[in-house]
Amino acid sequence: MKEKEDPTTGLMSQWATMHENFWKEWLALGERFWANIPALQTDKTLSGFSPPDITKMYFDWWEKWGKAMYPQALTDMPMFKPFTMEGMQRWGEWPWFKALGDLGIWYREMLEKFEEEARGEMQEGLGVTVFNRINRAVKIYMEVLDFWIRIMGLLQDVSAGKPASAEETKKIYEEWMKNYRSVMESLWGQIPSSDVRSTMKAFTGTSLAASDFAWSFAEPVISNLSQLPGIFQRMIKGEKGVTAELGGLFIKNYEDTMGRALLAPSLGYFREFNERINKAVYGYVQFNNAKTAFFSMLYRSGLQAAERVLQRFAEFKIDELTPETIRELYRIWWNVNEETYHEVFRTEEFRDISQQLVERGLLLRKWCDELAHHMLKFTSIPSKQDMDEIYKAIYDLRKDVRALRKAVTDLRV
Amino acid sequence: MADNTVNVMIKEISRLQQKLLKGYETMFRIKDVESGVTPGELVYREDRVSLFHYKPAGGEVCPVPLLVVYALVNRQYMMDIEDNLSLFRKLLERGIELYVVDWGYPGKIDRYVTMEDHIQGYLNNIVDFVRDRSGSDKINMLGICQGGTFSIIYSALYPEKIKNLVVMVAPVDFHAGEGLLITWAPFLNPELMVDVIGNIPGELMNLGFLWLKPFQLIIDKYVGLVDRLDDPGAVQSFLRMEKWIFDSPDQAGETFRKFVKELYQENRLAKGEFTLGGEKVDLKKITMPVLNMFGELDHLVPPECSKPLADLIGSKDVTTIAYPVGHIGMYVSSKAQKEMAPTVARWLIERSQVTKPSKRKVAGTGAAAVKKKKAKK
Repeated sequence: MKEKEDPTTGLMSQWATMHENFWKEWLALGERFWANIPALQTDKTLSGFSPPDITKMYFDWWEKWGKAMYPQALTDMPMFKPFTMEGMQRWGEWPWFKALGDLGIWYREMLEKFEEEARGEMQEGLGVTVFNRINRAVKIYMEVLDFWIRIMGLLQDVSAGKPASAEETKKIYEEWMKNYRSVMESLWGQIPSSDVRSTMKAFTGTSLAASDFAWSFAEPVISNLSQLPGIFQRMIKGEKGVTAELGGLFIKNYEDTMGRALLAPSLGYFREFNERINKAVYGYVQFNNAKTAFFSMLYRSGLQAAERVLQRFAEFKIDELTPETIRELYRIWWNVNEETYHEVFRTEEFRDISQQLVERGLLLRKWCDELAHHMLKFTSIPSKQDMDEIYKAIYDLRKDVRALRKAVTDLRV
Repeated sequence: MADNTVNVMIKEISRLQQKLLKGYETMFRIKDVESGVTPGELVYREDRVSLFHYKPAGGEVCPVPLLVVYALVNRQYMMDIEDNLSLFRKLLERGIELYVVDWGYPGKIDRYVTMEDHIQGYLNNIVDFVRDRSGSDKINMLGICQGGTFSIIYSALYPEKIKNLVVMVAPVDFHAGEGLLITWAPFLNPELMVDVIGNIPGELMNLGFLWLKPFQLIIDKYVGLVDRLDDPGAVQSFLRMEKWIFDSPDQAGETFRKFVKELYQENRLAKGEFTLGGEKVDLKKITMPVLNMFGELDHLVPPECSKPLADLIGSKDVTTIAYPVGHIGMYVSSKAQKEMAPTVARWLIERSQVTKPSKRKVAGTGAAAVKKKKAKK
């Protein structure tokens, strides 16, 4: 009886070949760099360049990859199921398949290494700038491939033309949407959490009240204004516990400075200053609210696109997956997204929300400029308003000089 | 199929790796690429605005020089981006003497520079300079994109100085068609933008342009390049385009305010209500021959915005040509490259035989020989 072939053998050899090729490429690249060092030293455009430590880079990601993937994959290998229809239904659960799906993560890490090295070792230049743009696009492409790998098993029945049960369809849909969200995050960044949104709303309410008392409550936070952008950024990234940190900061500062905060407005002298700060904070909160609404809309549109892509993928009959079909699927993905977003960009909702975003951003800047102007009044540093006045004066002077020069020329003629 | 899927995915990822490695090696060395391949002579300068002169390189020399007026939004070297993709070079080879306006990069000090300053100031001074230098009472003008709109306005205000007007992808009716820029424009607040920011950053303008086709321009364009990363020629061409696309000067604040408010939002030019420096811009005063070219697939300036020019102006000699290309394709597509320069050169030479050689005197002979036609596609 013929011994049953281990289904992992093929995969292992493919992995080995791929890594071997990749390793050879890196070595060859390194050799070329080192071989060219005299030329690099004499070439002024490359002065200061030192080749990245390719070997270290390779082992860094190899180590990461190994730690992340192999222990689990190796442990589960004896249980690895052959490629049967039954197995395909559970494809997404296979360790190797999971590992393959995580190729995207590994690959992104590698690209990030590239960028890191490029930033650290290379001088600024058009080539590096554009290469980083390519990297970013390829990362998204990899997200799509990764997404496709994860979803492929779930689509088997559909793509084979067999009607899926309601439960299967629901599962496919849910899985699809869940995974699509990570693609969206690569594209547009992470959406602020509902926690952040509610905090923003509460904060807006505080600022809106704008009474002396409300202001006295807000003022201490402003005294630590420099910490706020960082905190908000972390909140927007969805970091847990930051809301509490903000609250803590708020309370601490309030307690530390309450007396001053309560007294200052009543003195009158600080009233204008406080009002300007109030406006700036209000503007900051409003801007973040507008930003949240804007990105929510982008996400929602992405999910609309996801449904359409799912439909198109389901219609896409694949007898055999080839590099061409992968690219065709990718082409469908970006075209459907482009069409969907194009429709969204034409809607009144998009125009309203983006108008809000731009206007809120502009108002925030305006109020910050006004605040800065007020603060700089006590120094010899010119504010934006002062500079604008100078620019206007120079502009008018230039016009006068031109007019005078023309008058002189005309008189000479 | 599953086994095959794994193989194919691994191959695809491996392919990307190989290509990116090649690209890494090729691209990290490139600090910059040449912008503008044809050597020109700087002949005039006023503030940040420069004028370059290019001598014709052969063929029947057109007696009237051509002044090229590009948009403020991007740089004029798109017309001269590569040896084999240079409209300038092709025009020079066909006997057209060129003067090219370089608007430069507005600094903060330029935030109060108005559209009047650009058209009735800088551009008018340049036209007078070229007229003096060339000895032509009237010169030919080629306006491109926003520069085309400027040229149309200029020709309406100073028809006595323009012999022939050529415009490419120039918007004149800003409310025609369904372009996204037209859809978005009413919701911009140019007053607040300029009051707060001053000059409008080029990066912001570029972001707006990228958002017109985000998936194509932010993702697919670069993914598509990966396959060609091992071709140094293709990489160089791509880098030149990238440099040009992202080389966006800021927009002088007051000019932006008027351009967006009165043209994009209120469509005053097409309505006959546009004024500049207190003077009404009457398009019917454009009576010189006009050649109007646009791209049928243009998503920035949809053809519907350019097409109506023939009906809005007073000229009886209007030639309208639509090319099956997009906005950028007008400069770099092989079809446009092959057809556009010969067409423009021929059209200009046919209509430029009357002014020379008298200096500052209008030559009255030969005008009747110019074929009068009003052709529309």
